[in-house]
Amino acid sequence: MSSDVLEKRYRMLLRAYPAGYRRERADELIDTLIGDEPTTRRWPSVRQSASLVRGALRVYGGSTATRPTAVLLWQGVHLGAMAVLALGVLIGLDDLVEAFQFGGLSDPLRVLRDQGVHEVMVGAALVALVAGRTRTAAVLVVAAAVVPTVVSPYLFLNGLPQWWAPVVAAPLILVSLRRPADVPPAPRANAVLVTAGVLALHLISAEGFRLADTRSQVVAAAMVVAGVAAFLWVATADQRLLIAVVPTLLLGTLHQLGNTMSTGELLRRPDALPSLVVAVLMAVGAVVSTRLRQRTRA
Amino acid sequence: MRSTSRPALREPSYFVLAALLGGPLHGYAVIKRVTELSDGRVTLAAGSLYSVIDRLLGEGLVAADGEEIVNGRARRYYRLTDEGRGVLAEEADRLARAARVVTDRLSSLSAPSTTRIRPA
Repeated sequence: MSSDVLEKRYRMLLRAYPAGYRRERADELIDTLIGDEPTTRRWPSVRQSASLVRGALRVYGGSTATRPTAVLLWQGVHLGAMAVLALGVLIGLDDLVEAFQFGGLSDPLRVLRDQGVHEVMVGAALVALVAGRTRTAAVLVVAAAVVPTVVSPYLFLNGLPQWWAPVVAAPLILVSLRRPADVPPAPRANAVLVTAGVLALHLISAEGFRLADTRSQVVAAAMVVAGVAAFLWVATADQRLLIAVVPTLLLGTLHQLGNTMSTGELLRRPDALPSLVVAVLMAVGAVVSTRLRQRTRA
Repeated sequence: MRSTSRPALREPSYFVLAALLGGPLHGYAVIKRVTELSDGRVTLAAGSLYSVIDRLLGEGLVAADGEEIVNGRARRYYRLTDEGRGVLAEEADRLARAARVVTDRLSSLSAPSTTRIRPA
C-alpha cells in the first residue's frame, strides 16, 4: 500500500520532465526508484527528489538532444530575449506605479506618453514571444525600441534601464528567427518558468548592503548567497539559464554605463559589469563543455 | 580507435560502464552494482543515473538491451557496446598509469638508501 502511495508521489515528481521523455521513461524510472526491496516509505527522499528535478532540468537543457550545443545556444538566446523583455516590463511597471504615486495623477496622459507607450509595446513583444510568434515579436520589439522614443524621449534621456530592454532583445529575437529546423523551440511553460527564475535572481534584495548596521548587511549577504546558490543549482543542470541571464545583466550594465560613464564606478558595482563578465564566462564555459561532450559522440 | 583527446570519463560514468561489464543490467541493478564496485563511494540517485545513461547512450557507449514487464512496469536493460568496452579499458589504463606514477615514487622514497650522506 505504501509502495502505491510512494509511486504516486514519484509520478508527481516525474512531471518535472518534458512530456516526451516521461512517456518514454516514466515506468522505467519508477521501477528504478521503487527498486526490488519492500519499503514502508511513503514519501520520496529529498536526495531522490533533488536528483529527479536536476535530471529533468538537464533534459530540458538538451542533454538528450541529437545536437545538445545547438539546443543550448538557440534556446538560450530565445530565453535570454524573453527574460530581458520581462525584466524591462517589470522595471517599467514599477516606475509607472511610482510615477502615479508621486504626482503623476495630476497629468496621467504625460506619464502614459513618457512611459506607458513603451510599457505596452515591450509587453506586447513579450506576449508575442511567449506565444511563439517570433516574427511578430521581432517587429514589435524593433518598434518598441524606436516608436516610444519618438513619442517621448523621457526614458532615453533619463537613461532608465527599461529603455534598453527592447534594444538588447531585438538582435536576440532577430537571430532566433534563424533557428535550425532540427532544434525545437523551448516548451512554453518551461520558457515561462525559466524567465521567472531569471527575474527572481534580479529580485533578490541587496539594499541591506547600503545600510550601516551589520545585521542588515549580514541578512543581505545571506539572501544574495542563497539566491545565487539556488540559481546556480538550477543553472548548472539546465545550462540554458547561464545564457539567458547574460542579456539581463547587460541591461544593468548599459544602464549603469549611461548613468555613471565611469569604468571605475562600473567595476565597483557588483550587480553591473563584474556580474556580466562572470555570466559571460560561465555561458562560454557551458557552451564549450557541451561542445566537447558532443564531439565524443558516435 | 578513439581519439586520445577524449575527455576523461567522470566517476559515475566510469562505474556505470564498469557495472555493465558483467552483462546487461536494469536501472536499479546498475545503482546497486555501482555502489558495490565503488565500495559505497558512488551512490547514484535515479535522476543522476538516467542523466549518465542518457549521455552514454548518446555517445554510443551503452545500448538498450530489451525490456521485461515487472509489477506492471517496463524494466529496460542496458548493455555495454564494443565502443563502451574500449573506452572503459582505455580509461582504466589511464588511471592505472596515473596511479603507477605515484606508487612508484612512493616506494622509491620509502626504500632504505644504501649510500646515505651524513650532514656536516
